[in-house]
Amino acid sequence: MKKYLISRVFSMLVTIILITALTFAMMHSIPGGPFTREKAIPDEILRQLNAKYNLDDPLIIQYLDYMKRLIRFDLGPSFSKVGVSVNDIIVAGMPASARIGLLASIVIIVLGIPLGIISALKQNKPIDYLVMFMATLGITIPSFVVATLIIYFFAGKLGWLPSYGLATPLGYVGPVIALSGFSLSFVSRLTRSSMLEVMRQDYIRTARANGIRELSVIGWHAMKNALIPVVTYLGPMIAAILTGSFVVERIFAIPGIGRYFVDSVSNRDYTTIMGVTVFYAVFYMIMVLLVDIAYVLIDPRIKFGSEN
Amino acid sequence: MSDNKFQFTGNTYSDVETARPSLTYWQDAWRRLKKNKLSMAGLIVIFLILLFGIVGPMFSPYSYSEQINKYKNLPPSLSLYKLGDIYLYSSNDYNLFLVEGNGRVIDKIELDRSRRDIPNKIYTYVLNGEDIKLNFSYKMLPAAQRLDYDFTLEYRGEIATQPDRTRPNILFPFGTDDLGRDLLTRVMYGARISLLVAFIATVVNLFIGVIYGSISGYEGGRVDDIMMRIVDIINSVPLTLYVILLMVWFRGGGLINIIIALSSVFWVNEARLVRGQVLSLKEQEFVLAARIIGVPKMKIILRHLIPNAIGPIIVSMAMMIPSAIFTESFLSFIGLGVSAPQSSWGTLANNALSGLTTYPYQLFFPAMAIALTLLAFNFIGDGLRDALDPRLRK
Amino acid sequence: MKKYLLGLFLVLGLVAALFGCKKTDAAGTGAQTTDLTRYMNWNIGADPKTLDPCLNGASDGGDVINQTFEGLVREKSGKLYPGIAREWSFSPDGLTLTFRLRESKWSDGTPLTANDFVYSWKRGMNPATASEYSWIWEYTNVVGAFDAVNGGSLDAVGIRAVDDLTLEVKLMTPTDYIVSLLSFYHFMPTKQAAVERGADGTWAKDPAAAVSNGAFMLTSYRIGEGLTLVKNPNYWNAAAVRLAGIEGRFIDAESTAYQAFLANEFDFIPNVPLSEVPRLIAEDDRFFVYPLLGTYYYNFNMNLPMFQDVRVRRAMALAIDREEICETLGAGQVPAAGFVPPGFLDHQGKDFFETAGMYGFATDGSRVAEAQRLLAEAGYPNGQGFPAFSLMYNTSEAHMNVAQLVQEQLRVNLGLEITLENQEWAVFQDTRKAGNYQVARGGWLTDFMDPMGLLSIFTTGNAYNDPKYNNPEYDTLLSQAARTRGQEHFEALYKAQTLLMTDVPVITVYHYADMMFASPKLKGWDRSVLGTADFTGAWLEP
Repeated sequence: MKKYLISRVFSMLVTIILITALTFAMMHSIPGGPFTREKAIPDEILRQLNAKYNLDDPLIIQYLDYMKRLIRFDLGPSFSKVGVSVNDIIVAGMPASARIGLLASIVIIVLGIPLGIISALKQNKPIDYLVMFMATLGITIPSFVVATLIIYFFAGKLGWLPSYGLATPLGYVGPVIALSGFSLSFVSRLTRSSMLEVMRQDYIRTARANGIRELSVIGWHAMKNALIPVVTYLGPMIAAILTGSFVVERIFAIPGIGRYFVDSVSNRDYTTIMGVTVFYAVFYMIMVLLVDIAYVLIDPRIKFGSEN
Repeated sequence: MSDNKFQFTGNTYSDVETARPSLTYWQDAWRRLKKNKLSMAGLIVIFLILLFGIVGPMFSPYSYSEQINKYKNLPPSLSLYKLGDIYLYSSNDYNLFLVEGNGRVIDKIELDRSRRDIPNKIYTYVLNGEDIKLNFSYKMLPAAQRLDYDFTLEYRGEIATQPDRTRPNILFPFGTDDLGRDLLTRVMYGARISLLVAFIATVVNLFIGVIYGSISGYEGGRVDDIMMRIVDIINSVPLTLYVILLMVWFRGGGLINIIIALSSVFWVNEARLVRGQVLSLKEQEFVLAARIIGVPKMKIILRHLIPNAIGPIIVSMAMMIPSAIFTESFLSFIGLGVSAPQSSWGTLANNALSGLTTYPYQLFFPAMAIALTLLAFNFIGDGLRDALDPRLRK
Repeated sequence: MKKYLLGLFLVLGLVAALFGCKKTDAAGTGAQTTDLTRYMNWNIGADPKTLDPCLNGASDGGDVINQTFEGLVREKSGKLYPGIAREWSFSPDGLTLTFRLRESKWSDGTPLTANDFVYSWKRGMNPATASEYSWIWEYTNVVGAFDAVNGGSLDAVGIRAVDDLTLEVKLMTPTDYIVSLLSFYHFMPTKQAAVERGADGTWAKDPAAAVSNGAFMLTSYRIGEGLTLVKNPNYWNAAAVRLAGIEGRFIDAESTAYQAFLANEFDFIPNVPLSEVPRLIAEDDRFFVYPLLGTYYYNFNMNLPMFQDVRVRRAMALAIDREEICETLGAGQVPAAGFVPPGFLDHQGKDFFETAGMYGFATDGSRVAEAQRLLAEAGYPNGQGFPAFSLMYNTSEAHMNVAQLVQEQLRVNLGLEITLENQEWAVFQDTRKAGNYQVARGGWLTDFMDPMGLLSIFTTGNAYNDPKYNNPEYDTLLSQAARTRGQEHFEALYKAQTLLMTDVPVITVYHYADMMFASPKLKGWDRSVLGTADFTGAWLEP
């Protein structure tokens, strides 16, 4: 396992390098740059700006410079916020995004998995159809609609929630609901289907026939196996949710980092594009690694690195 | 015990499932799918939506791009005010319409712009030379003196404060959008693109995602590591950058671009899901048994691993259809997909967003269509899962 | 115990109510003694890129800077008021402009002198500062300024502090609009010692380092969230400032800010959801719409053979129903016939827009017959034989709606086959600049009070001449206008616009409008005709 982890970390580092290189190449090959303005900047000024941010160097040099700084965890100055570094942007925005993301993740896990199990045990009963109906809504209605409606009814019409921001605990309600809707539905459906899959296995059927006691013994093992698809989904989802959502943060006016994933590209804010991409990629790959470790914990037969 | 006691038999494999040659695996699956009522209902719904999309627009009196300017933002149900023998409908932004008692809009009534009384909030409209006065000053009264109506209508000395009846909009059953286009026609037309996108997404998930994930999981080791790190790269590189790049390379490519974009990125979640399943399944006895008797790798994957993981595969495939439909609208928004005035459910829903609180019906119908499609696919998926499950074969 | 507490609260409440009454009474008797402890709540919109007047190039930053800094003059609703300059005068030849400054202080209490203006302006035009708006110096006609922007000597620039309170500006040609132009944020002063405290304008967002000279000063700035301004006691006109401060927020989702406004959480928001606008214009007294000095138009790609015939271009310009477009958008836009929007006064004090007239265009669909005739004369009766082309716009719902309306109008009225194409903003600008289009949307907002700023973009070689319009006569008229004042200046401009509208390199669609939602309690707020909010004289009524 130890050997496997070492080789895994090595492959993750290679992946990070590939991701940065690809992102770097792509952002430099699309039209426009950080100083593209409707009212164009005079050539001399543009030259100075490019020189200041070393944008006049050959791309490969720029990339190597970037990687050198990245090793020291320096993500460079932002182009769209003068004098603010990308590190500052992430440090300032991460707490808000992470708080909402964490709450949403908890809601998804704590509600989604039990709902899935219940509807699997009560397959084709009213409760199963109800959960399925809610999940269909949750999957179909995009978060921007949920968020807008929450603000319109619960903040505007009823005045129960604040219209924006996280100043009070009630401020978290709207963003967490909007953020968790899709994944909550997904997780409950996924849990249901893989529970059903497991419950069809012969030994579970026998156990169910033999009574509750035996079922509870085997049931736990069975359920663990049913968790594999759910865990697979949850890992990357947590990485995505904790690093903020553009839509939810924009609509609830939350100063998180979700918006920079979209804004940085429209502004051609090169350093911020790279910064948030690397940040997310690292987070994401750690979650993926944790998922793989969780597989082994759930099903000890699963082995990595030593096959074939 | 010597090491070579359990040797793989190499290529000596012969089909062991020859007991029932009359029905192949797929024929059997189809036979069982037909018995599942909900799945059949789902298939029929999808067929109807398809019909609705392909044939529907031909029967519509309007084309998807036709703008009837006087009928902008008309809702699907009209609150009618009765004054004498005429019925009136006043829109949210104070356009007045003459309507038949059954809900058929006859015409827009022209506002007399020269007699707009803005300080007192009274508009005068002229119908066949007679004045209709709309007084909307009540809405801005302080809360304490609020009346139970926001505006009054006056015609031939008669004043109406409450609607007489509510009738469905006969000319435009789904209402009209902000350019005066018939939403029913646009939702029908949108089915073509959105169902196609749903289809592409499913095919991509099935043929790239499932195969990729199962190979990665089955092979394990270094192959798995490399294949999964490729998934990580696709997952981490900003999608918007990639889409812009595609747009620049294939300017004006339309649907082809959507197919390229979806098939290059949309399968990664499915691949991860399948790989996780396969990792666990391949250690089970029946797979080991198959390997020992020398069943070829692809056959093990297709015959033993995928069918045993089919539940989550099918469910997640169905659940990803709405995301695919919304991804299409995101692509169109960036400039990659279909261009206006062509409609898809995703773009219809997106365009309705800015007016969500004012004209919620503009979002309701495309969202309904997406939800219906998802439900239908879910039911089909449930049935398919049962049909394809090897353990249920009889 | 509980009863006792309740009683205490009641008494406290009564006392508070009494005090409240007293205060309102006082406000009723003396205008200047309103409640000075109140902060107004303002949604600024996006988080500004910078708050340094020299570096700023965006309207959100400009809105904040207009509260925290004070230029030589201040423009409100098109009227000029003395700012740091007490008075100003031109030399008889119009080439020297002298400002006499009042004695005033920076927010840190140090005196502000003419040298501060010289420093700031040279900093703004210095390429090393890399100010995005430095191109504006071209339109000031200040001697040597635009050369300096392009790397020329800063010493040769015609700006001089004669003494601490006298600033002298040398002009290359007499320029009437220069004083109003100098009210723009780019020309507001910055203090050298403060600027040097933080590179790249960081000083202006750091409350500890920021020094300003306007009605308010920055006390807090939270990335992506908001900022706080408090009244600047050292402002020269501090007696006229009646707000204790401003709480600013960066909410760019219009629907959210709108709901918060309705819940009385804001006193002023710059935008509302577009679908609400037509209703708000009709029924809500808190909603304001003002014309904005800019024009929305479509460029013909004049290099393409299909658009060589002026009759084709004119037919298309005639076949568009601009009133219908404006009504659909419904946010106070004005149908455009010419290029210059309403709001510019000529040498006789008449509105340029009114005097210029319609150039034979109509704002409604009444000239369709003429359009059809012209297209037929050009050899394409009912659009037959005219190649299909694409109309391009940058991604946005409003642009998409205008494009769909125009597409349908040209199809119905002229039988033209048009496809629509949208591109992401930066890509679109690139495509348009490269001339890689057939018809593309354009928009231009001017920054100073002279039609020159609009008409000059169509001179040969201008960076914004997207249709690649090339008419030497037009170039001559504009250079003539640039060198002259008064009657001669405006006559040249009228002739230039007539020529432009005869050649039709662009289809003008509408003139922009600006909107805002202001609480009825907020009084005394104003705006510049360029659209910058002004709360220096605002106050909140109880």
